[in-house]
Amino acid sequence: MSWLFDHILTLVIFVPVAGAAILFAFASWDTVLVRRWALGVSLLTLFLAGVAGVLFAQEQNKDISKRGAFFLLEEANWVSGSEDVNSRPLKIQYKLGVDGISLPLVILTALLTPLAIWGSFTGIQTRHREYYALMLLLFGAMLGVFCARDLLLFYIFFEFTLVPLYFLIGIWGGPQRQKAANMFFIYTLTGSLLTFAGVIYLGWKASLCEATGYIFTFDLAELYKLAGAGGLSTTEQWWLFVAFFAGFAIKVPLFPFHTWLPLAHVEAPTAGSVILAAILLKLGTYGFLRLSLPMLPEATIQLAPTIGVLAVVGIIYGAVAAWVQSDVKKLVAYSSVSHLGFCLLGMFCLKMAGLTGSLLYMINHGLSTGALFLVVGMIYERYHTREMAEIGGLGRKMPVMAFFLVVFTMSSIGLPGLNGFVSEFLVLLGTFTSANADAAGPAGPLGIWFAVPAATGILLGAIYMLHMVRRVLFGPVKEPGHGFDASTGLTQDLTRREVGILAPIALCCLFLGVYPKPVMEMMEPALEKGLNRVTWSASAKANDSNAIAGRNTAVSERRAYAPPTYDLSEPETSLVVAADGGDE
Amino acid sequence: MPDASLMLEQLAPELILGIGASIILLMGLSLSRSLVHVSTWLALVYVAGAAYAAFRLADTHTGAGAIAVPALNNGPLVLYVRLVTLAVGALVLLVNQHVPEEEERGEFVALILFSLCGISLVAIANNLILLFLALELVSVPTYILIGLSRRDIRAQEATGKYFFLGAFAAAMTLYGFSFLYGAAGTMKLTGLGSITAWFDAASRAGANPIADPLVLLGLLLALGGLAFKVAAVPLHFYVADVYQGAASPVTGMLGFVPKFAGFVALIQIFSICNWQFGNAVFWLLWVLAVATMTVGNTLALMQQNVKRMLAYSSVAHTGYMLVALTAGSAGLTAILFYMGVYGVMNLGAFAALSYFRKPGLDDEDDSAEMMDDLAGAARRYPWASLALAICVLGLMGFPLTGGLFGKFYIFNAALSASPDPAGASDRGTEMIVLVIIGCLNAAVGAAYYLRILATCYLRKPSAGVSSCECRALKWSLGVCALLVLATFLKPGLLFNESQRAVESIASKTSALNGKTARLQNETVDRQLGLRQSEN
Repeated sequence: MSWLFDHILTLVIFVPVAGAAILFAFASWDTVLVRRWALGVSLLTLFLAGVAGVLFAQEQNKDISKRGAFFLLEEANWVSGSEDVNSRPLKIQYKLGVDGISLPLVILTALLTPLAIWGSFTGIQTRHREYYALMLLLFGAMLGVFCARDLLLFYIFFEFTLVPLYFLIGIWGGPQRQKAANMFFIYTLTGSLLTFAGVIYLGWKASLCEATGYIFTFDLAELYKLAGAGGLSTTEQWWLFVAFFAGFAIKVPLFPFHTWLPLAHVEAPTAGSVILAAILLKLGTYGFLRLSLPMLPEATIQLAPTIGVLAVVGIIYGAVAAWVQSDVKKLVAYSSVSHLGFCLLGMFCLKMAGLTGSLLYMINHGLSTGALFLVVGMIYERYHTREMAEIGGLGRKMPVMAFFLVVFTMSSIGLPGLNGFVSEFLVLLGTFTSANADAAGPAGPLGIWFAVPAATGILLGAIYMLHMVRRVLFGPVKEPGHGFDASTGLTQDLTRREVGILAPIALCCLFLGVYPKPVMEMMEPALEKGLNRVTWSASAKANDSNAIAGRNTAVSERRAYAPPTYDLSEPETSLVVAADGGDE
Repeated sequence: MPDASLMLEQLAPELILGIGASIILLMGLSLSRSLVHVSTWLALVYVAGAAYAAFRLADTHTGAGAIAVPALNNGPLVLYVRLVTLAVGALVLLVNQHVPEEEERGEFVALILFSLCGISLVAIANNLILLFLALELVSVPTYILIGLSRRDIRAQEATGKYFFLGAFAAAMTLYGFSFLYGAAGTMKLTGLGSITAWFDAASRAGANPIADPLVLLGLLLALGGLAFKVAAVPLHFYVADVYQGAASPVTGMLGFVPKFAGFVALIQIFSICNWQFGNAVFWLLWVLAVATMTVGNTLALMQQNVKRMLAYSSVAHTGYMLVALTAGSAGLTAILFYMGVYGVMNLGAFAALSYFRKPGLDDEDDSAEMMDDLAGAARRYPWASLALAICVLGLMGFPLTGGLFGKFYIFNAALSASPDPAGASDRGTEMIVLVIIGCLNAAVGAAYYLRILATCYLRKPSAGVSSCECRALKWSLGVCALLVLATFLKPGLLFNESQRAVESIASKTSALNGKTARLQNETVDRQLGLRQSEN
């Protein structure tokens, strides 16, 4: 048992991968068995992720001073080169761990992927074995991104997610699937290759820096120290930020790098869209939060207004573009562009409220948009169209579906009481107050001039979403000539399976809307730590350009800003469950 | 004068290969079918024997440079080149097992062995003449192999083209060598009374020997000739025709054998000047690297024929390795590592192409060539397609394949070399620009490699495509794919070997830079510190 607990994250990542390998190897399995296997493996992964969550909570509560640190650490040397030419040992580690930032995303992933797999039972009619194998492979890769604690490992998982999704879109997608898949793959790969150069550069800089022990390392804990220790000049940070931006902004996608998204979403099969919107886009925002902010603090502050502008433009542009769509799926796709603008805005206002809102936004957007794509997919499976001109008044024919569509729409536009509201409110609060210095930190880079136009995005969001709901659910009943397609065993309204898929998501939306406190409490210490990294080094730079004096100032200021409960030197806490609880 | 037996002992692996090749050549004349039939397997036995001998030599002679035979190198580089050559060579033999006609099998296999033997000799040669002869020993058999491999008229065309251009390039190399000889007055590459020693002496005396027009001309001509071997722009134009003309398994070999020999020769030649090339050579290499990557990728993007596409992509890969070469001595490890991984990936891709058959001329099967021939292959041959996908993803430099680490080490070397690329001037920005161009090129590369995957997996199966029944081909394809995955999981195994191979060159260079002392002290301190903390 203790072995299991010690390697819980490895299990979470590699159980789906092993499931995929078995699925690929057994060509003789029939469709029903394949489906059950995929669902079973993904549910097992969800269970393991739940166990990881419980262990994490136990660990965190054990020692209050370590809140916000990484737990469930696993470490193994992967590539440890001997001394290279200039006597710098290369060290790439297989290092996993979760903190309050990554654990919620791990659980989100583990929750939504089984539902997406379950939702594919009727939608996918060809090449079942390959489909479910790829889904499980993608599942493992996404979990790996959130768990990785080594930059190169992160990059490897990050990039590997492209392959399964490429095939998912390219094989099971709509009529333009090949174009969509190629565009998606090449667009995102181009960005992430520039990130690759940045990753190597960071590792190399670590090998020149005393604070990291002259080791060519990609360990995030070491790289976080780099900027504070004067290992990166402002210019270098700037360029590195641009390199990371190339990979992450395309993934998010931030306006104007969003052009691949609508096509990919429209052409992808339902489960592909769900995963893409709910989780893969979060890889970009998570990348910003995990890497750009704490590792490149000065550049973050310098470039935050630029990103703020792009985010605000994206919010409004995405909303307006969504408004004019006639295809429901495309509408939801553009709404993602708008929503993720909020997410980045909250992040780059560099206030606790904004950051918390931003991270919550990632979860909430994953839930509500993922669910919207599922509902749209369910309509599509029945009518083989997503054109709002061809369908209407479905509320009378499919009341259960109508209920869920309304719930998720309300969640998406931020109705108080549902999850969207909490995060939207926090993001806007953070942005509004960003320009003020307060007890929690110095003034942030954004301000009211970013918040006001962003707030109109909420209004626009309500308009286009309600517009869609009105056309699809209300008014006179309108169906395409052929009526609904019962060939795959679907009924007119949602089947029990479909209700089973949507209900858990709806419950999560409600829970997070009414009582977000436990989740926020889990996130806050880790976020605070990340935020402090940005603000100290920036204030250190402002107070004193001399590197050493700057470091001292930074230390004194970090004491001033940081709540005393958090140990800021980030001790690596390893999992000690085994010692005092695992064997019972 | 060291006695001849010592010299023969040091050449044992090459002698095994050479004598083995001659025996197989004679066996090929035999009328007994069964005797001819075993030639591939017999060749594998010789390869294994050569590998054993190489290990034995490494065991007995490590550190004992004392028994050096002046004309022969006997360092870790030789061991690395021997082992990689033999490993990839064994795969080449297996992939080619089904290619030759029954009556030509002996000659065919023997020629492959001669070519492999040549690569090791390139690393062993410590003398300009020997180096040149070794290079020719690599090339000449490949000219014939192309012609033997297929009865197609295009194979004859390819042979002709490759032979005449190759002869031209060889002449250029030799001309360059003659200038180097003229300047230094010796043929020896390293050691007492060698060109390197002359170089060191001249530098110490305050002269700048690299600026000597004779030396510069010699280096540039040698570089020009070798650029042909490694298929670098502007001497890349033959690749597409030659690769297309030759049978796919032979093409897989062409991607590795001349390239590896060429790069090892480049390492040997540039070691003369202790990797302290002045501005002229640095910029020449820089421009060559950029041009080779960009031209290779752009032309590959425009191809419909998979073999031509892979041909141009091999040009692009030369470009990536030139990036590492531009980085100077810091990049040698990366080149050697990349060459090993690339050799396997490339061979695997061509093995997969040979596995998929389509109707060819004279009612004979031919290996798949156009994109359409691969359409929907994944539906009918899932495992072969998976192997092809792994190799192609490797060429793309994607995670889960050794290709990722190949690119990683190259870009790593380029960035690390930036503050002090063996010269006095700071070339940081140039190297960073080079890396960025390399990354963008890798993205362009992904675009056309993706087309192969897309045709295989996304399109409807085309009629008339069958598969090759040769078991050796199937197994070697699988081994190639597994090796590509293995180099991802444990890159250290190969990388540490390649690091050891060039350690002496690299440490000498950095000693010249006068930096090592400080860094080594730091290392020692750190190690002491670590040990103390462990205690």
